Amino acid sequence: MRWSRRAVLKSLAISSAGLAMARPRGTVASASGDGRRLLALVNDDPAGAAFLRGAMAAGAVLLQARIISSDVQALLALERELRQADGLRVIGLLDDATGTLVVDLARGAGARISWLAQHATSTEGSRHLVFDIDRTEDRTRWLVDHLYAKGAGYQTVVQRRGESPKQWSSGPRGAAPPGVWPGAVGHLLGSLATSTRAIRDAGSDNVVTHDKFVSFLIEV
Amino acid sequence: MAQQNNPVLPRGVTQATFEKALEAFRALLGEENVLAQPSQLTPYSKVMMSVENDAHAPSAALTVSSVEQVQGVVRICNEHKIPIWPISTGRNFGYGSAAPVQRGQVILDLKKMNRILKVDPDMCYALVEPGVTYQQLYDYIEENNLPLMLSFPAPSAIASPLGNIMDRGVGYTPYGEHFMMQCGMEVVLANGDIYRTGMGGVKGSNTWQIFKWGFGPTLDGMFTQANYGIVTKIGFWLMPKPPVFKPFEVIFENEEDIVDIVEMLRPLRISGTIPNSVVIANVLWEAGSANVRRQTYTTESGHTPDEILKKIQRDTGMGAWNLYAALYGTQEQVDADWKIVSEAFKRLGKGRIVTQEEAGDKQPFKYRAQLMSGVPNLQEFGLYNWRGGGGSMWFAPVSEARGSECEKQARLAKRILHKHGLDYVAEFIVGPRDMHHVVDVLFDRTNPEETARADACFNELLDEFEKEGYAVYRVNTRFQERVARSYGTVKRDVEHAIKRALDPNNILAPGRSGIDLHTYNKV
Ligand SMILES: Cc1cc2nc3c(=O)[nH]c(=O)nc-3n(C[C@H](O)[C@H](O)[C@H](O)COP(=O)(O)OP(=O)(O)OC[C@H]3O[C@@H](n4cnc5c(N)ncnc54)[C@H](O)[C@@H]3O)c2cc1C
Repeated sequence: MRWSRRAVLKSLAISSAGLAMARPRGTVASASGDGRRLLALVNDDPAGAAFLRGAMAAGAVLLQARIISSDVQALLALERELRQADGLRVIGLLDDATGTLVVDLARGAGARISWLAQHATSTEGSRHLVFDIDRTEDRTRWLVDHLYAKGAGYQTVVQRRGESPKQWSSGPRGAAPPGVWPGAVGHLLGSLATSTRAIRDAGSDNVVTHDKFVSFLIEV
Repeated sequence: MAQQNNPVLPRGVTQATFEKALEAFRALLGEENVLAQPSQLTPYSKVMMSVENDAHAPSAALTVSSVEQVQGVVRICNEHKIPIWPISTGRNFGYGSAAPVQRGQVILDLKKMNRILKVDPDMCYALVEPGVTYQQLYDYIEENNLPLMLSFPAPSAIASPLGNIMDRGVGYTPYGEHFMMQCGMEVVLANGDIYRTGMGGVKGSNTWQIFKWGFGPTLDGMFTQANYGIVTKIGFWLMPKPPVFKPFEVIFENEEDIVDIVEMLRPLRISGTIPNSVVIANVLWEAGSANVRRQTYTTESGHTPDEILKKIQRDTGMGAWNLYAALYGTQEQVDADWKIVSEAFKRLGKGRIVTQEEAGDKQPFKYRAQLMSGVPNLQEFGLYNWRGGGGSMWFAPVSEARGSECEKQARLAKRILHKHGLDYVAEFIVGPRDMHHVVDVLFDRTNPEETARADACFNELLDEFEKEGYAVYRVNTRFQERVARSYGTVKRDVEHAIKRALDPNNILAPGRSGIDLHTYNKV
C-alpha cells in the first residue's frame, strides 16, 4: 500500500509544509518541561502516523513533525541542524536504513542518545530490542505492561552496558491487535522527551505493518 | 568532575587508574571532549554484528582537534596503559561501525580534525585530515569549480577518504582501488613521534603527494587495517573530470550467466577499455538498493525462495545479475570504446544493455551512475530495509576474475546462507584481475534466534571458504582474530614483532586485525 505523505500529515492536522507546529487538543502548553524544541522524525507510513499520535497524546507539545527518508540532502540538513542546535530533542520511529543514518549523524554532531531501540512486528505480536541507556527500564516496563494490557504478544530484550540482558515476553491473548506498539512507542518517547511523569493511556491505534523500525530520543 | 563507577573498563585497568586517565584527558582536551556518560557513548556502541552491543562497548570516547592533542592522548595512554581505538568518521557500517574491536577500549574520535589541507587541480591530488568527509570534499570541488572527480564507497556523503583508505575500501570509478591511489601519510606513532611516509620526511619537499615510494622501505601499507599508528593526514590522487561520462547497465536473466559475464569482462578490464571498478549486483542487492522490501513478497522466516526472486525480476525488470560500468574521456574516445564494449556484449548473445538515456532517473541506475561519476548519495542503505532489524555483516572474499571461480563462490555462499535461513545478497566488484565478492549478511537483531543463526552462518562462511583456499579482504571486528588465522602464523609473527617494536605497551587498537600483544602468545 502506498501511504501518502498528505495522509500522515492530515491525520495529525499539521500543515502541509511538514514542518509545522502542532498542538494536540486538550494538552497543556507548558508540558514540554524545559521548553527545548521537540522534533519528531517519521517515515511516510501508517506506523509513523501512529507514533506521532502516541507522542502527542503523551502531551508532547511544540511538536514539529518531519517526514524523512534516506535522501542525502535531507539527512545532511538534519545533521547541520543538530550541530547548530541549542536545546533540541529529536524523537523518531524510522525504517532501519534511515534510522541507522539518523542515529549515526547524531553521533557525528556530538548529540546524546537517551533512547535507542529496534522494533519488528511478528506473527506472535512484536519484538523490541531496547538499549537501556539512562536507566529507562521503568519506561520499557511501561511499554511491556501496555502491550500486555492490550492483549498484544511481545518479546522484549533490554541490553544495558555492563549487565546481562533482561527479557520479557508474552504470547497474544484473544483477538489481540499486533500493531499497537508504534503508538505506544510514540507515547513512551513523547513522555520521555517532555519529562511527563504520569503516562496517560496510549490508546489502541492498531497499525498493520510488517516493516521493521528504529526508535530514538536524541538530545542536543 | 567526579564520575560514577564505570560499568565498562579497559581490559586490565582498574577503576582508579581509569579515573586518573580520564582526569588527564580532561586536563588535556577539556571536559566537553571526554565522553563517558552512557547517553554520550550509546551512539558509538550501535553495532550491526551478531553480538550484543555490550561486547564492543567503549569505556569512553575522546574528541581531539589537533595532532598535538593526539600526541598528548598517546602519552597519557602509555602512562596508564589505556588502549585506544582511532576512528576518522566512524561510518564503518557492517564492519564494526564506530565501536572498538574489544570491549572497554577508549575511542579516539578524529572527526573534529576536518580540514581540507590542499587540493591541487594541476597535479590532481588532495591532502586531508581524518574528519573530512567525501561530501565536504565534493562541495569544495564544486564551489571552486575544479576539474576533478572523486571516487568513494557507497556511503559517500558521510564517510571519509582517510577512514575508507585505512580499511582499504573501494569505490566505483577508474580510481576505485582507493589504497592504490593513496600518496603520503602522516602518522602519530605510539611513542608520540610524527612519521611522514614517502617523500614526506624530506624538508621542503613538494612531492609528498606526487611520488609514493620515497627512498628505502615503503611503509604506507602497514598502517592500513593495522594498529601501528594513528594517521592524521592522508594524500590521495584525484581523477581529472572527463568531458564525457557514459554509464551503462547490462541486465542478465539467469544466475548461471555469471560465468560468461566475467569471462567477457576480464579482457576489457585488463586492457583498460572499461576503466572503472565494475559492479555485478545480484537481484537481491539490486532490489534492496531500490527499496524493495522482503515483506512485500513474503513474511515467512528463512531464506527467500528462488521463485520469489524470479517474481521480483519479473515485477521490476531487474536481472539475476546486473552489471554497471562506465566509459570516460573525450567524445571520440568514448565512442570508440562504446563500439568495442557494445559489440562484445552483442557477441555474448545475452544481456540487455540499458543506457542513461533509457534509464532516466530510475533507481538503482541513478545512484550507480552517481557513484561511478563521483556524486555522493546514500541510496544503497536501502539494503538495510530488505530484511530489516539492524543486522548487517559484510562477508567479502577475494576471487579471481574468472567466471568459473565466481560461480563457485556464489554457489557456495548461497548454499551456506540458505542453510541458515538467510539470503544471498551479493555483488562482485570487478578489478582487472580480482573480484571483491561482497555479500551482505542481513539479519534481524530483534530476533535472538536469527541473530544466533547469522553468527553461525558467518563462521561457516569463513570456514568453508577457507577450505577452498579463499579468504576475505576485510572483516567486521567480531571476526578479525578468526580471519587473521587464515593468513598463517609467519605473517602473524611478523605483525606482532612489529607491534612489540612500535607499541610495546599495546595501547593502539589491540585486537585490530588480530594483532594484540596481550593475547598472541608466540614469542
Ligand atoms: C550500504 C553500504 C554500502 C557500503 N559500500 C561500501 C563500498 O562501496 N566500499 C567500501 O569500501 N565500503 C563500503 N561500506 C562500508 C563502510 O561504510 C565504508 O567503507 C566507510 O568508508 C568506512 O567508514 P569511514 O570512512 O567513516 O571510516 P572509519 O570508520 O572512520 O574508519 C575505518 C577503520 O579504519 C581505522 N581507522 C580509521 N581512522 C584511522 C586513523 N586515523 N588511524 C588509524 N586507523 C584508523 C579504524 O580501525 C576504523 O574502524 C558500505 C557500507 C554500507 C552500509
